[in-house]
Amino acid sequence: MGEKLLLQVEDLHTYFYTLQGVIKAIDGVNLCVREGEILGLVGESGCGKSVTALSILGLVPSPPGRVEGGRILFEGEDLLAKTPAEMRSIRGSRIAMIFQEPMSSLNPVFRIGDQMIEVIKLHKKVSTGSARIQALEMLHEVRMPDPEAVLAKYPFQLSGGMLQRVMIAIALSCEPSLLLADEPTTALDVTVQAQILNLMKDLIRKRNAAVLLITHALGVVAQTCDAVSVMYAGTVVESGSVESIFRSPAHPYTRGLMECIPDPSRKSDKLKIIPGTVPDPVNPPPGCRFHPRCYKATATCSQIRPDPVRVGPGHVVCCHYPEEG
Amino acid sequence: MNMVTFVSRRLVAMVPVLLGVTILTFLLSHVIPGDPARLLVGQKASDEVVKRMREELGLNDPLHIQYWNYLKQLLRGDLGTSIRNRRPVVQDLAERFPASFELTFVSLFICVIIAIPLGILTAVRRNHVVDHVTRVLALLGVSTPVFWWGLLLLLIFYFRLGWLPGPGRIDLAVPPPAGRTGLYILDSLLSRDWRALGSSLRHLVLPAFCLSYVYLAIMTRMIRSSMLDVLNLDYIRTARANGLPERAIIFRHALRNALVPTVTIVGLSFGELIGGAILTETIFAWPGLGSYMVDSVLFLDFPAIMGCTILVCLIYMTANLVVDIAYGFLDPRIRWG
Repeated sequence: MGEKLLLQVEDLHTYFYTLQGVIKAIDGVNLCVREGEILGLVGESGCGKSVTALSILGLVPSPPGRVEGGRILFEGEDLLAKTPAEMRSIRGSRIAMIFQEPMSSLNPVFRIGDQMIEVIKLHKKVSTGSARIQALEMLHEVRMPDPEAVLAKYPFQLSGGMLQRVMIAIALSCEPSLLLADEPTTALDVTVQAQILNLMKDLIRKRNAAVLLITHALGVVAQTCDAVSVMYAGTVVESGSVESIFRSPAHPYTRGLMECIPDPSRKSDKLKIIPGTVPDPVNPPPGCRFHPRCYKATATCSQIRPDPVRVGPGHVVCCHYPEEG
Repeated sequence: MNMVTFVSRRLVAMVPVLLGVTILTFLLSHVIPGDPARLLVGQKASDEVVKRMREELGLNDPLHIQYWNYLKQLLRGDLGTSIRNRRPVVQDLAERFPASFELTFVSLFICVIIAIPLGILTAVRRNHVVDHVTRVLALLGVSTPVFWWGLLLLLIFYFRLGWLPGPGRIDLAVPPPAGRTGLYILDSLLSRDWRALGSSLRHLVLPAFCLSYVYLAIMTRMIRSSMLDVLNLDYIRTARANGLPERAIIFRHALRNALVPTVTIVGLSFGELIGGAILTETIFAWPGLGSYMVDSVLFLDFPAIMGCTILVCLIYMTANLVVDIAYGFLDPRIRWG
């Protein structure tokens, strides 16, 4: 893992203009992904994880969505300043993405081979024959049984796990330096989840590529990632290495999330929860967005938005009263 | 499952439907009041003659024997003799069918080549000017009766401006092109009869436009909405995330998926139009099946009515077969399912 920054998201704002009002889906997100690093982006549904990934790729559905501010620096270039054509040449080649639902993420009327070859030909400017050979190699690398036969199959003839392998094969076929993985195992059977995660990790390490792994499962983060950023209601509330965050979570929200993981050794009767619900994105609470649900909240929390505070090496938290140890 | 099995399965499935149709048309001719024998020999004939005719037609046999005879006759390609003009119904249909086929084919062709690009355009430029204009035109097409358009078009382009010819398939002064198909465009092309080609094309313009407008409106709106549906699906997002150009996304990835509902409409419209373009055929004096059917009904010409019904059913089923095959080509899930 290098120390060089690959992706730097600074103060990103992405809003959706709806009839109900302006939804500030992302309201000041800061992220850093180093070369070769796997960064987990964690948070509850609707906190803006997926929109962050789509903003990076320039794929926020517009209308109603729009990136309203901030900078997205990728290998030193500001992606928000790119033309649509320049973004197209980056998508799929330098930054690739895989999605939550492998079953619906491939076009049902084209063969697997055609869909793989199309992308390889587009970015690598090679002949169909050589694109086919590369597609076969990729399928082999994602440990697909009988790759030759799979090329001729249609998506509906494969299982969810197999399709996610195909998605990974397509995503990595053009050697991206960054992979955005949006809940890649959520739709899969538990038995397959670990296989896919391990496969992804292996292939990424081999290529020295970086991953932004979006998930709501802390277990996945602990197993797969090097660093974590925790999102809450459109902002990143805490980030740091996996070790330091799991050992000493500093934000009350992060701590709450950890406590929600059931511990079989402590046979308490009830599962732990964080009281309250995710705030209304049209009218978010003032000050710290988490304060209505926070047991430590004071008057300060409801008025002033907390700035990032360093609580350890590379460990930053946005809280007026960070937890100790 | 390969294409041959797929098609032969569909063909086999047509047999019971056709049998059902023959039973229905047969019963129809026996339920409707009126004595075919009396109709054949005329009102003034004596009872003796009617009785002999009944015997001759086998009308005194039990119903199932009559049906069996009817079926045998049908299998020989004999649809009986028209009461109205004493000609074999098959011969009448052979003359009328090409006229209807030509009109329907050209109308639907116009529909498809305009509706697909327009549907895509209005989907991609949703809520822009093109979309709003198309929406108004489509509403106009769906809500205005065909005969009104027909009369208006004749009034403007034939009577007032004189740009286009009036009723009929071809100018009276121009001899119909020589050929076997009865399709004037095809025949005149094959025999290089440019005069007949020009005349029959000019005669086609108004009725074809009139007939296609309603379907054009429906199809454009349908392609628009299925394109919009498809463009929101996950695999389109994947295609974008893979950096595919918008052109490839719309024309390759989205259009093929959006075409399935459109193909259904085209197929059904074909069946509907070929025997159902009654108003258009009447207004433009087009010698097709629709006007023939109306005349037959007015004369209680049972053999002709039954012949038409069976022919239209056959066309419907063939159109559906073609639609099924097209599905198989467009969507592998249907071919293999």
